[in-house]
Amino acid sequence: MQLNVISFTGENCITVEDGEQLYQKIHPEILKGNRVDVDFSGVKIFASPFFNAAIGQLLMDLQPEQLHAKLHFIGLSQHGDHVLRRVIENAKKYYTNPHFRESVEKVIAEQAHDL
Amino acid sequence: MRRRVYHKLFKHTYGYISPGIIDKKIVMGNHDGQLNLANTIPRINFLLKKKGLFIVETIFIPRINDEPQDFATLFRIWNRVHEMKESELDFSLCDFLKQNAVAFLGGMIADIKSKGGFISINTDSLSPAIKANLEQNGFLYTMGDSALPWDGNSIPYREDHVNDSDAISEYLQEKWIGKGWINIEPRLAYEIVGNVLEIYTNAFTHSGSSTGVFSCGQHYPTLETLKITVVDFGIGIPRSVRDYLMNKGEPYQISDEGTLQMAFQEGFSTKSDLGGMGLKLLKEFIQKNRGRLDIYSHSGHAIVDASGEWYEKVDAFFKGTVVNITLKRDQKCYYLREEKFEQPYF
Repeated sequence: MQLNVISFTGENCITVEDGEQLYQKIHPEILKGNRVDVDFSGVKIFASPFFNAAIGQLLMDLQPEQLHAKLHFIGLSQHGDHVLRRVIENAKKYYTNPHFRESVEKVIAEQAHDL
Repeated sequence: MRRRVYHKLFKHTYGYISPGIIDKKIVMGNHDGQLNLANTIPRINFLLKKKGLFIVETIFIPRINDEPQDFATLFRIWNRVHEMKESELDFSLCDFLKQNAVAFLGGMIADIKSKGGFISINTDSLSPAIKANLEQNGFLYTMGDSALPWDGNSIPYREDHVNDSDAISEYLQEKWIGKGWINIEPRLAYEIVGNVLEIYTNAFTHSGSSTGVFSCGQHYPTLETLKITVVDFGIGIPRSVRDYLMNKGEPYQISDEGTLQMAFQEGFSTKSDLGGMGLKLLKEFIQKNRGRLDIYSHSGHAIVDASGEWYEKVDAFFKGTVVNITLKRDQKCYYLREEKFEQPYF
């Protein structure tokens, strides 16, 4: 299936709410094993809360290999592409290594303590 | 009945009155707005209230730039005004006011009013230049003045009480970045707007501000810069970080500036679910594009520019968060993403 993002978010992909809407359309299709093409043509503004909700949280119960095979992005601007990749990179660490966050926090807190 | 009250001990108090109506003002002094009268004024207020009177304190707003000492002045004003039920802002000593002061003072007025306090602006004290600036950017109109704003070098003063990201995006595109005074391609403009919107989203998501988010921008042609300040009166980044660590049973003793450093680090988020990319993306954008980002929260100050990031202590406390962004006007200062990566997303 193909999803035209602009038809339900307009030109801005910013909020968690819009991202959640897209997630609700993608997630069941991938679970069924269907291919999903997400078309961002016409969308101008991107921010990370949207991608965290729409794409990042897919990694909570879906494997990167599964998503690589079934989920495709079309029409992303350079900035949108950059934000999406950063969000995916962060989500992979967040969901694949449950101790990642704790260990990062510990190091950061110790560094900050020295200030 | 009209009576004048003038308390000789405090030169900054002046008189009025029929109860509830400020009727006559005799301004006597207090040019620094920083006197430590916190314990005394409420007592006098109490005594006067028993007679149907009250004290209105005049806060003299000085020249305010956007250096750390200027933010400290704004924070002291906020602390002073916060202690008073009634106060008035007087601009007779002010010959210059940057966008950060406009956003902060506007937010302060809304915050005080939302908590049942009263604060007014002595418009007669405004110099013609300051008055024109505050009329142009819509600040005075928002405060109840009849003069409508008009186009100029100021980016309109804005109050957002809910996170209407489409409206904020339109404001940034049309009133700030898209005014034609910054020489950039549309795709770069969209990238800038996306990065600044991360700040608004953070303010609404993390701050817990009941009064909303306040912003104002300004174009400085001779400095070839474009600025915007975004202020919220929520709990502040240090409290948000400490609450998060405390809830996890990790009550680290970390300074306010230390908590700001934590908030900027890759992999750290105070949200329990996935998130926490906004500040990192904005930091990266500012550093690549030779801008400058200043964040003030509690007594911490974070500075990010092309040469690195610093965290320092400010000699004043503000409970919320102020974000001040400075961008260069010329596209030559910007890093343009020419091509997308071909590597897989996942």
